[in-house]
Amino acid sequence: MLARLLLIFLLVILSKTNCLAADNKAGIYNAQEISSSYGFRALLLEDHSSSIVSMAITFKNAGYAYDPAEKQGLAAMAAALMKEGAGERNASEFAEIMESNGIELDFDVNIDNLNITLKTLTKNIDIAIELIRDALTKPLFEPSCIERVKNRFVVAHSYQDSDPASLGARKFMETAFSGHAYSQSRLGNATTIKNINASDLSQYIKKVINRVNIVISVAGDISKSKLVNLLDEYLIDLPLVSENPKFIINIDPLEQIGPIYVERDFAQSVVFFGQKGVSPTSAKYYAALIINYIIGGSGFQSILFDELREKRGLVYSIRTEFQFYAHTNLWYGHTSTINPNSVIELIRESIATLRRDGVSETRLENAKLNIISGFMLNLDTNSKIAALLQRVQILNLSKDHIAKLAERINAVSTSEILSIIQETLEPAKFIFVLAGK
Amino acid sequence: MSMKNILIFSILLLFSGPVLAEEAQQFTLENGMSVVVIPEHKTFGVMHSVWYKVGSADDEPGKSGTAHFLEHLMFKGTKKFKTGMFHYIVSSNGGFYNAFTYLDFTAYHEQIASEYLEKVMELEADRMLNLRLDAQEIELERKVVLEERRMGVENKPEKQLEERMRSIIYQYHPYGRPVIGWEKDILNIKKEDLKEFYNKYYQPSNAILVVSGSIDPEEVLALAQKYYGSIENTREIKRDKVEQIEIVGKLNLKMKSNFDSRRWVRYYKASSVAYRSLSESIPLLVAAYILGEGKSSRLYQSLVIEKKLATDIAIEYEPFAHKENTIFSIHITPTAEAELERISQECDLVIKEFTNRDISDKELEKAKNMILADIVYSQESFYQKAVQYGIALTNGIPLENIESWYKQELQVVTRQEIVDSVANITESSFDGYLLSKK
Repeated sequence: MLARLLLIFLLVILSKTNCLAADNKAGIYNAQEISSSYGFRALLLEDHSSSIVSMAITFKNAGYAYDPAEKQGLAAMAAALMKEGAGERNASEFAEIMESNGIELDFDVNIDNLNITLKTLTKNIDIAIELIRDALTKPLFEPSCIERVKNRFVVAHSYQDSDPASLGARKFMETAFSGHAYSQSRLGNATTIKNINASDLSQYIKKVINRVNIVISVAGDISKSKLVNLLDEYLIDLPLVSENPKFIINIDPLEQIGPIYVERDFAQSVVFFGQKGVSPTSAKYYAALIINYIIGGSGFQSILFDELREKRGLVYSIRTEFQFYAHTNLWYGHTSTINPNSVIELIRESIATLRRDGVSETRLENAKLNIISGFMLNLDTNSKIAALLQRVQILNLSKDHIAKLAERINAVSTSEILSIIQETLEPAKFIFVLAGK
Repeated sequence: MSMKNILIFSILLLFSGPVLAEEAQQFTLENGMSVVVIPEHKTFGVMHSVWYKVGSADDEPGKSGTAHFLEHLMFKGTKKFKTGMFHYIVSSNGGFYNAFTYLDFTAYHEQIASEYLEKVMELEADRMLNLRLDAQEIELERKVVLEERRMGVENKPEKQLEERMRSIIYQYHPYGRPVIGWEKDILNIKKEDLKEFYNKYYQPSNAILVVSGSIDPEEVLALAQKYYGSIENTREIKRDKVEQIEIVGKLNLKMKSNFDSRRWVRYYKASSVAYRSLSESIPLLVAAYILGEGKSSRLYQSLVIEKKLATDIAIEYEPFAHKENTIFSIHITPTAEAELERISQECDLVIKEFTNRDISDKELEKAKNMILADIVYSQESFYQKAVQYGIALTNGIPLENIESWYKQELQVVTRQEIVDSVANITESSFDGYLLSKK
């Protein structure tokens, strides 16, 4: 599907911007949808120029928002324990075989999902998939390992508590989604961690690991037939049914709050700010990408960078981004400074000016070029390509999202930008959280 | 390359097999500037980078942070390209840029579609010669650097601990000064200091151009001759070798944090590849993997799994990132109950056992496999490759050794050499304790 779109795409009349994206040396338009005899589906980008295979596997509805409130930290703990012994191998043997083969395998959760990422040399792909299979279907959850991971979480809590960026981010989510599952904590706290036992962990696996919720993307030195065989051979043990997960209602972040203070003795305060975002499947998505880029998504090129750092020396860095979640969309930014009040004031003013004046043709054209060019330049490893293919699937982006990105970005006009800014961005509605003095 | 050619090439690529790796090539311009090209046709872009053989180790005492401060100011404009123009020209051609400063090098890089290579080269060559230092810009940027320091060091107790440890272990060696500079020094750097530093070190013969990506080496050479070749070299830079400092005995430093988080760090003094030789550093690198890389490593097995004193361990040893000596360090995150003194003792036992007992074939094989996989992974990206080459070249490692360095030495390293490499550095040590506020 994507491969065919490529040819169509290459015939698109080339403006300067299109040229950059039309070049397919990263090969990204060659990604193909595959399906196996047992019904596994995956997006695959074959690239045999290196001897590396990267893979992303996600189980949806398995993230920490689904943790029971009194057992927050459960999903993250289960993910951490998947590498601590599975099948015939105890924790040390599991680590030994992974490391002896130079396999990089990680299990982690975000708010919505359980994510597995793999990077391996081609020659070790079979053993890597076997390890993933064992971790997913036969984790041991030995008491000594559970204890060890709990200790790790307790220590992580104290690190988070001494880090203004972690504290600020936590407070921001608690504030924006007060009372909702999205306000939960990934690592829980001392009490909720204590509440988790081996049976909770087994229940978690039973609930979330199955062939219904799985999403797979692969990039690198592997053929379609090899991938299909691997999936059918090793993942066939995954159950074909899924239990209903905890019901999570869609929510918009709360508005017009703060600044809320997390007072600590830091040398510098961290400021978080944000509001409701834009859905990745909405018509405004591509314009919103550009708007974010112009405001604070681009590092050196953004309005906030210019106003806060270049003109006034108030901060070292400032970034804004979208977070696309299954039940909400968020737009937020953060920076650190010893002058939080001036910074908050300037953020409000800059957005207000943007709402009034919109953006110039030149700024828009530069942003378009940079988004498209950056998109391609950034795809320099198989892991990044697999992550992109995975994002396309998880966010339900259109099948031609990659092929049409340049065209859709280029189609956005300054008037469209202005009307979407006015419609979606209201500094009066921002949440501000400040961790520090 | 014209637009049409790019298109044809990309279509051909779809149906062709593996891209053949071309070898890196090196040239020297008449003014002494070195040019290295690493063709990598998987991308449509180039990474253009200029590496000056100057870093924080060249900062004058009392003016630490000068090299880094100047790096920030290099983006503030020249006579020809006024403030903001650098940014505008690179970004309006779809490119990205940044820079970084370390002990012995300062690097400036741009990633952009290969057809715009000439444009970024013109900008980079211009600011090698014509930087304009404006007093007002300097004051604004000083505030930015101070915020960077607060974010990177002062808000991070473990970074503060290590900053102090480095200053103690290196004594009067310039590696003991923080790359970003001490706060007092940052406030003390004058416009004249920056100007003098720039005039002295930003010379073509003190710079290496590293270009990777979709480019033809001859084409890069022609462009480099046009833009960099016309810059006159006005000074030869020779850095005096600083006397090597040895730690004697066992030192330790205890620092109380404002918070609850604790950490235990151990430093051993070690050699860098450039200062000694590859055959001395490779055994120690293998030892680092056996001791501390991954959950099957000796330190993890002992301190985390068996003794339950720690939740995580890490070893840092970067033999290639330093021109002179370097540090072999162990970083341990203690469990909530563990006594840090106990961690220090257990760590001693693991090291002692390592130097007294033979390494098994299996352990050696595992370490080699991990290193080889890491090499393959680290060379996947054309950006990363240019960074690797730049670091090695500025630290005096010849181009011909870069590709083969690990692989050849890894074949021949013996178990005894690995054991000895650890025995040689662990007689004396320096332990850092980050204590909680309680």
